[in-house]
Amino acid sequence: MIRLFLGIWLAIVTLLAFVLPMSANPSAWYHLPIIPGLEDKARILFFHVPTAWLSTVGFIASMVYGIRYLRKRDPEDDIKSASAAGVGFLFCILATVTGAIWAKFSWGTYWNWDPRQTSIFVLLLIYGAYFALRSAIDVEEKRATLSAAYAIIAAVVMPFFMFVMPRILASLHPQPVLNVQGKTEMNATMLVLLISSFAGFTGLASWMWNLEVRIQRIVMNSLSGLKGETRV
Amino acid sequence: MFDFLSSNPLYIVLIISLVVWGGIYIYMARLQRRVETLEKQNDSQR
Repeated sequence: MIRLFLGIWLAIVTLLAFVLPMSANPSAWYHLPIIPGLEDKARILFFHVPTAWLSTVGFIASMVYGIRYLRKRDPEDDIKSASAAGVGFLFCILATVTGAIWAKFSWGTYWNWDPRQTSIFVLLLIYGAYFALRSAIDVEEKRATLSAAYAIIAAVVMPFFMFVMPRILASLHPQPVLNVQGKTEMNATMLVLLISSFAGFTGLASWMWNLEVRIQRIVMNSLSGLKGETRV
Repeated sequence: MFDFLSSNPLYIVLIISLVVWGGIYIYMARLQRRVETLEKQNDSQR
C-alpha cells in the first residue's frame, strides 16, 4: 500500500513539476516564479536537487553502517553499508547525468569541467574505487573491514567535494535554492513541490536500499548454506 | 494532440518522464515480489 502511494506521489510531483505555469509575478497559488536566466529549465530543480541530496544521504548511511560494522562485526551491517553506498552511487550518477543534460541547454555543452562537475566526477571516482575494492577481495571479513574503513574515509571527504569546493571556486552552477546571501528565492508553491519531491525520492531510495539489503542477505544466506555455516 | 505536443515540447518531456517512472515502478514492484518469494523459500528450507 505504501509502495502504491509512493508511485502515485512521485507521479503527481512529476506532473506538477512540468504543468504548473511560471510567472514573473506569481499571483495565483499555483504559479511558480521565473528564475532569471533559467526560465523553464529551472524545473530540473525538482529532480536534480533531490538526487544530489540522496547521494549524500546514501554515502553518510554507508559510513554509519561502516562504523557499526567495525564496532560489532555484524555481517548485516556490512550489507547495509555496501547497499547504502550503492544507492548513493546510483543517485550520484543520476545527479551528474541530469546536470549534464541541463548544462547542454544552459551552457551549450554537456561537460565543461565546472567546479561542480569536477567535484562530482571526483566523488564518482572515489565511490567507484569503493566497489572495485569490494570486488577485489574474496575473504568476507577482510572485505567487510576494509570497505567499512574506506566508506568512513570516503564519507568524511565527501562534504568537501559536494559542498565546499564548488562554493570556494568560481562556478557557473546556479544557486536557485539559496543564493549567496543565504536567502530563499522560491515562493511557497515551489518550496512545497521541492519538499514533496524530496520526500518522494527519499521513499524511492529507501525502497531501493531495502530491496538491495534483502537480496544481499539472501545471497549471503545461500552462500553460507553452501559452506554449511550458520545463517543470519 | 500531435500539434499541441509539437508546440509545447515541455509536455513531451513530461510524458517521457511519467513513462520512465512507470517503468521503474513496475520493475521495482516485480523485484519486490520476487524477493519476498525467495525469502519465503529460504525460510522454509531452514
